[in-house]
Amino acid sequence: MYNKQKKTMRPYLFIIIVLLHPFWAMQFLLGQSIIQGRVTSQADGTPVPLTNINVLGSLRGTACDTAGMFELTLPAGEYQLKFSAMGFRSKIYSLNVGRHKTEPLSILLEPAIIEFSDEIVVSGEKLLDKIDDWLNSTDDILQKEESVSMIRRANFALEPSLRGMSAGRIGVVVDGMKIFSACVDRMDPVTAYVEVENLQKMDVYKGSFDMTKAASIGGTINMVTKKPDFNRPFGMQAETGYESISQLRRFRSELNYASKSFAARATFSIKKSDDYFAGGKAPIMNSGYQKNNYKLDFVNRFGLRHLLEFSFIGDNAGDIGYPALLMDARKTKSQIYRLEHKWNSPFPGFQSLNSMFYFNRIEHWMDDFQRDVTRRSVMPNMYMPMFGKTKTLGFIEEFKFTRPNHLLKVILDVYRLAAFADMKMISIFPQVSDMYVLNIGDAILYNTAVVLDYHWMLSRRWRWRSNLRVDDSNRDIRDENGRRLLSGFWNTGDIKQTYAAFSASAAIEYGITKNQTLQLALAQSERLPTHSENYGFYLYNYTDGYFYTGNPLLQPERSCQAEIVFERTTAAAQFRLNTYFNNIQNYISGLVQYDEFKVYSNISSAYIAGLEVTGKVKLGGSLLLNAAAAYSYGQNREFNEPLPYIPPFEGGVSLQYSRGSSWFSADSRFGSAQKRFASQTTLEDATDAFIILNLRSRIQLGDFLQIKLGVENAFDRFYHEHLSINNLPGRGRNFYLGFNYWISSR
Amino acid sequence: MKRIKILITLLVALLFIINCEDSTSPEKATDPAEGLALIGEKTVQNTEVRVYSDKGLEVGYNKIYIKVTDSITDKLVEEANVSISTLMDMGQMKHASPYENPAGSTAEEGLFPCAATFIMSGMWELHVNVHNLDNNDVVEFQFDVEIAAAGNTKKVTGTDSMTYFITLVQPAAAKVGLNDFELTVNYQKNMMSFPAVEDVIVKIEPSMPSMGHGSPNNVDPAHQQHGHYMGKVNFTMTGDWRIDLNFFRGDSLMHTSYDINVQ
Repeated sequence: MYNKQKKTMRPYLFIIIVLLHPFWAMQFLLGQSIIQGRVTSQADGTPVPLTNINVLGSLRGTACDTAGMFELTLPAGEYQLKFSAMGFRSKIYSLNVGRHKTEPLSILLEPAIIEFSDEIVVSGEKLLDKIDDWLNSTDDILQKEESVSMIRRANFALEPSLRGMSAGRIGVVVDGMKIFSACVDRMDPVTAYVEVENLQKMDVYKGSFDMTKAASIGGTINMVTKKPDFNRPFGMQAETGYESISQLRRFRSELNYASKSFAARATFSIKKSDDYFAGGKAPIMNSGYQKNNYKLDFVNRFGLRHLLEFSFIGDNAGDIGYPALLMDARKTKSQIYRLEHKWNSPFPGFQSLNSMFYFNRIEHWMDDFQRDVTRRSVMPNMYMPMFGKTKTLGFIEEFKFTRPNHLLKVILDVYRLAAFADMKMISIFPQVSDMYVLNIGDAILYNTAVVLDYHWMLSRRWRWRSNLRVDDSNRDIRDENGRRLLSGFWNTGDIKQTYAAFSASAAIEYGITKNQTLQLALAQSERLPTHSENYGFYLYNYTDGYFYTGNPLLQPERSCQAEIVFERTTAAAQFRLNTYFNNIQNYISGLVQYDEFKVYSNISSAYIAGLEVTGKVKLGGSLLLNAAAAYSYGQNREFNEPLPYIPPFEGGVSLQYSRGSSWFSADSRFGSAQKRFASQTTLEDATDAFIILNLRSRIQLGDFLQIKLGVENAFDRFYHEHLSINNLPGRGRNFYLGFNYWISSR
Repeated sequence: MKRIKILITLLVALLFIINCEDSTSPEKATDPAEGLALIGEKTVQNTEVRVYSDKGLEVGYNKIYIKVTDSITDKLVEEANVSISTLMDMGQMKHASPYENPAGSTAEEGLFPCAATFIMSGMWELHVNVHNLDNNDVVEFQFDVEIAAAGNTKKVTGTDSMTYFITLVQPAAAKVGLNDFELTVNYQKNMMSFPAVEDVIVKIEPSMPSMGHGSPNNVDPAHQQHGHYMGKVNFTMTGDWRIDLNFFRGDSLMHTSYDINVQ
């Protein structure tokens, strides 16, 4: 009986698959090609034996022999091969297999002895285990990383929090560039400037073990943007999309041009959203927005050794409703420039030199003209338009030296930040004079850092990595009135500040077996106060209703942290467990000064500990199961209460199914109740547990069209996450539909 | 090219002229009363007396400067006994106001500093008496001054039933940040005498009525000398501020307030 049922099921399943994917079968009809190649170390040219080669999106794969040679049979088509070997950075190689014989491949792998980052590849690596490369937004992609939670203030530009830490405790950089939010209410996180079509990958460095990008105690998120593709002489792509929950209309386009030594890429996107609905059709008033973003990239190769890259990102948004805050963003304007020169050295031992200059200007206007100011409890009966501006100019020089089994990076990281913010207060009563306050009276910061990043492959089983980072920072207020304000507030004539911060980390990795590794990492790091923590003046914090003033005399936060990572990887499954403990001294927190005013102060000690589990299993039949969960526990020892905005136990499970270029997924996201919350340093409340289910699909129709179709929060749950400011609810059931068309020549 | 040459020549010439002007400016002995407003003058025998104030006189604390010169030699007289007094003649009654005379008989930076606190607007008489110690000339004269209305002096009746005059001296032009805060306190002994009060405890509380908040780091004024009290007031933003003042003198209490617009 049982057997019979099984037999009748099979044709059904087969028919469904065939119906859903009318094109996958075509792959079988095409010819097959043999791909041959060799994998060598980029450092010294020696072969990398036993490298695993996976054809992404399929169960195909092979491994190199002891001489680094491999052979793979593939039908004609486009593929992404992933080369991974212990002690080397994984590499993804795009391959177009034709009917003709393919040239032998020469794959160079970069030694990377211990990687602390979770690399979320968005694009290039199609059908990646974790990420739908055409997810609707960068925020959705960030949320996929188990250690990242998103702070929600609107239906726009969520702010990432890494292991319960955000803002100054983590570094968020774009291609390594430092960009500082202009809005004193943190309405404009840096992640907002990289649209999903421009995101190549996101490196999430948890903890302060890898300090090459920033001095932080919580970690760093580096958003690596897409660059022009030399393999696509001409390519055009466009996407139109719609989301039902907020009547979101979206258009994205991309253009790629490449000649032998020059390549260019341009993208443009525009979106407009009305107010959204929370679960159960609860309207969230004043939550619409509109935004456009463009990016321009030029790359020129000069011979074999020189590469010059220029990129520009422009981002403009307007009329962004912030239901969780007192104000709405009226206009934001960002310009981000980068010029990078990469040089591969011909000298043995000296591998490369990368030099990057960057400049960015972020401007942000907000106001409460659309609000009823007569009925609010905070500063009633007045409008408070605010303006903020940051300008950052920086230079990064990276030297890379290699010897057999050794890799040393020496990085010089210099930047200058100028930040300004002010607020006008216009009473609705004409007899009251206008008031004006300088929130940041033209702060100027000069930062210089030197970083040493050293990797050492002790043996086949043991690997070592250490980081040393020294930061020097000089800061002051340039505006005369700003200086008067702060020196009056702190009763000190000198608000100029000079800091030196020292950070060091060491990690050792042990290959227990070929498939299992154990890693132990220790770090002592310091992070400098942000310009707001030093020089902010009367910054209103909606979460606790206090006005915060910066403290020029703050000490750097000092962290001691340890992490243990166990990882097991086989062809069919991967499992990883991270446990960490982060002890923070001189923790910077707002303390009540009087009435509704707080000042930033160092409190003696706090800690955050937690664990993260991720696993993925190939179930066979193109089915992939992913699960990830994280738990953090933060405690403020001085106040004997939990640290604020620590995510509860949360995570997600997804089941993905792919055939050819089409793809389906069912994924859920859950968070348990958070009953541990801060009530002294800020005013939080408990958060209930939630679970939402999303269903997504991407269907290929012919050579030029792909359809994206899905539903988020399929059961229309009304919920909010613990990191939602003012308990702003998450989005209700959202149907989305996108059409993606392209023209490409190869 | 020719044009550029001409331009450069002109530029050099201009620089030269500017430099010349700077270097040849005469180094005259500066007049100690420069920048002050002359409000009255009189010459008796060989002594010329000129009376100055910072600006136009108004209700409140006004600094008065007396310049005494030898009218023959045109030299400043550094040694003199100088005194002033004020009088308002209202027909059926006359009254004076608080005033301050130089502490000694030696000029400070060429001038004899005095002060008059006018307690109401209108026409006042300013009486000046100068005894030139160099030549024993005595110059005594009076003149009328028009006192403009202003809110700097408050008449307050204490719970001890005495009449006090509280005068805001500083800040004259309030700015954001810490400002010196200076008051004078006098009481009315009789119509002609307004002695300084030196034993009052003053508490200040600045606030923005439209915002409902105050500011930190204010320093309550403490007595310096001759009824002058010095403290600090901190304005954290521009706009309309109100400073509430509470005075404690023995068992007596007083209250007043000032409205200040911070620019």
